[in-house]
Amino acid sequence: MSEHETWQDARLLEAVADGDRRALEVLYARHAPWLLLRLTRRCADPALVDEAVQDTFVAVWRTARSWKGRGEVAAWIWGIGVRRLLDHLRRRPAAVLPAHEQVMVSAEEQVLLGIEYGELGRALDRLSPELRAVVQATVLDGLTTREAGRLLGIPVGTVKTRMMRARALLREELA
Amino acid sequence: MSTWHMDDGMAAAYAAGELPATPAASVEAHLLACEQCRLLLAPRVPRARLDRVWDDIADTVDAPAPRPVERLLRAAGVREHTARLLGATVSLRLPWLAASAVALFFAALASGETNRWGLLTFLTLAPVVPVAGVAVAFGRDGDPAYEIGLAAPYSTFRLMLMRAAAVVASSSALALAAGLTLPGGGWATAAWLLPSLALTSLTLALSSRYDPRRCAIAVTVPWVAAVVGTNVREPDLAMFGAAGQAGYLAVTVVSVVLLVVRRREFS
Repeated sequence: MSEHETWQDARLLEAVADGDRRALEVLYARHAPWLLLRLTRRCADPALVDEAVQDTFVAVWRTARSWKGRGEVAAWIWGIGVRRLLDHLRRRPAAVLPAHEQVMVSAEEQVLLGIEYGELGRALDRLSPELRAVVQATVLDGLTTREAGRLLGIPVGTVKTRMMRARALLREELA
Repeated sequence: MSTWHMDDGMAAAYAAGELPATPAASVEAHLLACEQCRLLLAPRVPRARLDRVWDDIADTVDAPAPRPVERLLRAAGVREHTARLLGATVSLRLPWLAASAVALFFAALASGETNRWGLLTFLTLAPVVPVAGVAVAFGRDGDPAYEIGLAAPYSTFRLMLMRAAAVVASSSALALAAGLTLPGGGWATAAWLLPSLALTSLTLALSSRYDPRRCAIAVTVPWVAAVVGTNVREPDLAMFGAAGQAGYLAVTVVSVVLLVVRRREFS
């Protein structure tokens, strides 16, 4: 037990920026589990997920200085993590097919936002899995159109048209 | 801050990937802002898996950052262990290279000011720079990795040649760059090359028996004395003429032969 464990994430991150390795360890203990689980829902290959998590915390160590000090540290870490996962998906063409297949399946199960039984929730549930996956990747995961296309294994243009169609359908449902 | 939180059942379902779409999305949006719920997930990931990933992170984070020279060599396609061995060389580090560059450029500058005397300064200094560099590149005092090198299954002779080659190459590049700034240019830009090879190889050959630093001094002092001696009355570049160059070539050849014959002395 050390005093590090009582520190807030922001303070730990500042310490990491100054080269405090123990602070990185505490950050890892706090954030690695949920990051690993959330990435697993985007990619079913545990080896790729492990590598993405590893790269994420190495990147946290190296770029802690670039954190602006605003917003949630967890959101910042997620932003790094999901992009590292994309890097690994791109770098391994052999693994892309099964991985993308899995991503599609697990991503299809995903929907946006926290209203479980409300109107929006029902409207989202009524979207086709393809449209929902696009809404989820762009809105919930915070990816750009290009990155969403890479995660789902579809062209950028398709992401855009699906997003447009999803928006129109939701407008109709909620009107 | 919301009052909505996960319960244990929900955390277990999410971790197992069994939570339906909408609640899972709720959980993910909520997790980014709620430390309490994030900690609820921690015991759902096998400890061994987290430890394994952490070990890899620690390995990467704790590895010393390679020096600029080492990175440059790696980028040029040199293998990792070779790049590390070369990068440890004192005379390949930036301060040493910077000092050599400054010395050579001032010598070149001097030759622009005072014509023949200045040119003589440059031609005398340029061969001494690689000799000094080689002298501190290996041996008990100069090599920070000396003990490790003795214990490693790596030929000391090969390591020495490799470092000497790298030092000669880098200091020759510096001398050439300085030489190109010489006014008039011409043959003087390269007249130091053979003397430089002769002095360096002689130093290496002598190092098979004596301490490399002493060898460097033993080679440099007569060299400077000879230059001063032949020019004390009036500047005369005879030592760098055709006959002189042939002599340096002969010294180089003899030294290299000696070096190869005595290579076992190094290990």
